[in-house]
Amino acid sequence: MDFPRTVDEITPEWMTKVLRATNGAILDATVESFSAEGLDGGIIGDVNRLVLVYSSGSGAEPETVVPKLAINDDELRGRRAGLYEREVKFYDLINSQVGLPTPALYCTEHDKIRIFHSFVGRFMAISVNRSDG
Amino acid sequence: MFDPLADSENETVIAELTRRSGVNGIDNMLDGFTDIVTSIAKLPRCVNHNDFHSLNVFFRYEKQGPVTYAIDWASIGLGPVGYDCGTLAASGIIRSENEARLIAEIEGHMFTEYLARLSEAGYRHERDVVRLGYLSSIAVFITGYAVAVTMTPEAPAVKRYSGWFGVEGDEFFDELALRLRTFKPLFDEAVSLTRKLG
Repeated sequence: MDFPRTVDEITPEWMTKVLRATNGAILDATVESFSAEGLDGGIIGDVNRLVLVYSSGSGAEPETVVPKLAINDDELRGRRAGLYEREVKFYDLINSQVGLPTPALYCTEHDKIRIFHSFVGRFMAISVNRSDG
Repeated sequence: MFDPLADSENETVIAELTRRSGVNGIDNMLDGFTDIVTSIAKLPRCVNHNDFHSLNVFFRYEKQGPVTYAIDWASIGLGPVGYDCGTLAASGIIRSENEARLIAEIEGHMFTEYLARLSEAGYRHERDVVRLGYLSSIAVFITGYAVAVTMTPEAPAVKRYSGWFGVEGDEFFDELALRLRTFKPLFDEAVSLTRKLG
């Protein structure tokens, strides 16, 4: 499937395409570049904060996004596959019933790409389920 | 103090921990913990986050007022009622001294509020049942204090606790003793509840 497996594989073009496709996170804006800062992703994720730079836009676009990628280790990823699936299913099936604010979901695409939006347009996480290889 | 330890040396170091903390029954904590684990399997269950520590909870002010966000739902599933609130408290008792002191002051209030919100949501569990689920999560980390003292400095658990506490060596040992003195009563309360609830 055509999606980034690591943060190094994320491109401005891919980021632009995803944001334009997900509930109007951006309209005609284009992600020109971004810088990445590693965050503590615990035992299951490779997590980074991306600070986005737009070549055009209204100023209302998300300033940062947080890609939450499945850990880049084949053995660990295989062992944690159930956890990735569980988190994805949480957002799909019961998030709306929890009654606790969570990162708002931008789009879901099962077994491919998950994008979560949070903190009033300033924070977004992308979870890529790599269990299907 | 942190050389690789044989069983006889474990007894020595536990005795020293008992002396420095002034807390009795440290050598029986493993049995008590087993009782807790056995007992919580019988508790009523609810949907839990199951990793509800303070780093997975964000708080911020927004236009409509303060909002608390929760992330990292990879462990969601059924678990003992009360468990998530206990994890939130426990995540404080294992971190900095100031955070541990704060949790010591407010954990009772946290539990009371949790119980009240459960009731509002329509759950009518007995207080002791919820309290045991709550304490069971905290008991894991309190037991960890006693286990950590029997390990070498290189053990992952010791490194983790030491990093969270922000101290090493004898200072770490003294911090374990202090925290046992502060929080062992919660562990003892959990063990008492397992006997009361059967």
